Amino acid sequence: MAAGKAGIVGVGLTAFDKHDDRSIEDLGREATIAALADAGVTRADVQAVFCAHLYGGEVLGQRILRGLSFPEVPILNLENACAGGSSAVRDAWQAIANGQHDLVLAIGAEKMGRGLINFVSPDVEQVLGITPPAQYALAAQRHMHEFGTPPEAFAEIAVKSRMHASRNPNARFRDTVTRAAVLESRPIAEPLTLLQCCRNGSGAAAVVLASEAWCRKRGTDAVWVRHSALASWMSDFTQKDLTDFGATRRAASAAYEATGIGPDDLDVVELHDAFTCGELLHWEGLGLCKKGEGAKLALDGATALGGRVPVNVSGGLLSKSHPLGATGVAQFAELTWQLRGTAAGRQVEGAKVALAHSQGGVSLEAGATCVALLTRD
Amino acid sequence: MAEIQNPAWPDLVARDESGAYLQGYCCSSCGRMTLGRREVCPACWKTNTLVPAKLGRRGTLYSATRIHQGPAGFAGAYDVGYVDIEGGLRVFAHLKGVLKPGAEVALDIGHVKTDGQGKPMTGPIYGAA
Repeated sequence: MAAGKAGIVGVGLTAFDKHDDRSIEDLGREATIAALADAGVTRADVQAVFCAHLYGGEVLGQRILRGLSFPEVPILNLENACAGGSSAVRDAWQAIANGQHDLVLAIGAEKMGRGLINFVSPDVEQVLGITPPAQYALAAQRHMHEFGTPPEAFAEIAVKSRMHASRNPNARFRDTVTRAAVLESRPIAEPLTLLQCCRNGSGAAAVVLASEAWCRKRGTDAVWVRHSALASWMSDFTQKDLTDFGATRRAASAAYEATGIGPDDLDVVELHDAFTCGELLHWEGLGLCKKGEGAKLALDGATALGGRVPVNVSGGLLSKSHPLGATGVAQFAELTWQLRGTAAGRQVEGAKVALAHSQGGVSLEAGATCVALLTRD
Repeated sequence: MAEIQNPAWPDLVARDESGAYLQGYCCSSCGRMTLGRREVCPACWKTNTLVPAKLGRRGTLYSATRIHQGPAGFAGAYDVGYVDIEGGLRVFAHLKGVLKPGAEVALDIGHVKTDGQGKPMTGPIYGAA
């Protein structure tokens, strides 16, 4: 059953950085103020709010917005691991497409410390020493075993990321790197080296979505969320194909089916590149290439700016860092700029159709993947 | 049955006269095998049907990696991977001397991490069969 569309009319983004002396509430407020200004609306116009985070504590959305004297509208706080931000935008889209509200705010925010994430509910794998990079490394190793994917293919993704970031004023790590430097950086979980892993960050992003009727009445231009598909993965010590990482294929298929848009129609993609090998596996899951052929795509430049299907021209998580709850929402900011034609320095010429993908979970046993399709018209 | 000293995770591994095994369960109603204590069979949802089963003495390595940066309690590099065992199950464990997917492996129990007091903790370690 296809829902209607919802228009993104405003986006806001803080820098993603350490922000040691700023609170998560302050970061959330900065993004909210920016998004509302971009949309040309006031707090009185917002009818509902969805706020995503992992570690921000109780009723984060309310704690952010009470400091902006927001009206006491319905606010829902949600956690869906690193797919939370995308899930918040999805909830906002659904509320509008289903006719519940005309104008909704989605916020994603996170404040993070240094080092490996301390999971709140560690399972046996984590207690035995699995780490997020190792989860991805295990998928990569299986891909290398089944398809002969060389480590250079993964490393090239980091080179691409920094090349894109060097052109994005919003990116955090903008120095370009060579393939050799990537491969020789400190090993984390083989084949992943330090420069192939995203860094922790703090930050917030916000998106204002409106109904078609609202946009028509105000004469406001919008970038349209046509569909957002959410798929879960749940594994109970089961033997799954690890090269089909997470639930990307299922979420993407659902989004493609609901809209009639296919992977060949995509002009620009923001996907969850927490680790280089993740990006490669997600290309395959999204249908940008056939299963097992990701290495070819990595080495022929197809996913770089100027290529057939530019992926993560913002620099992605690898070059922006990764405030967990904010990342998914930030993708919608980037893709909105791309579809508006205002992505300075890194614009994909004539971009009309975009895909946002994010994913998160606990070891390989439980998680969520969210895929959304956006169009200019 | 030899006592497993300071286990990293309770009731995960044990040893008998035939060697090390994983403490699993088999549902006497539907036959589904599981690892870890639980109240209901994940497949048929019956309670009181899960019978202890000794699993995972041997398996096939599905994927492996060497972790160089681990969480607290893990010093230096250590090898980990997924091992496919009976019942369609896959288990995460440490590895010793084997990293190649497809390898046949056998279970042992050994020190996998250190606790907050600096004492070694035990867990599953698979090596070449």
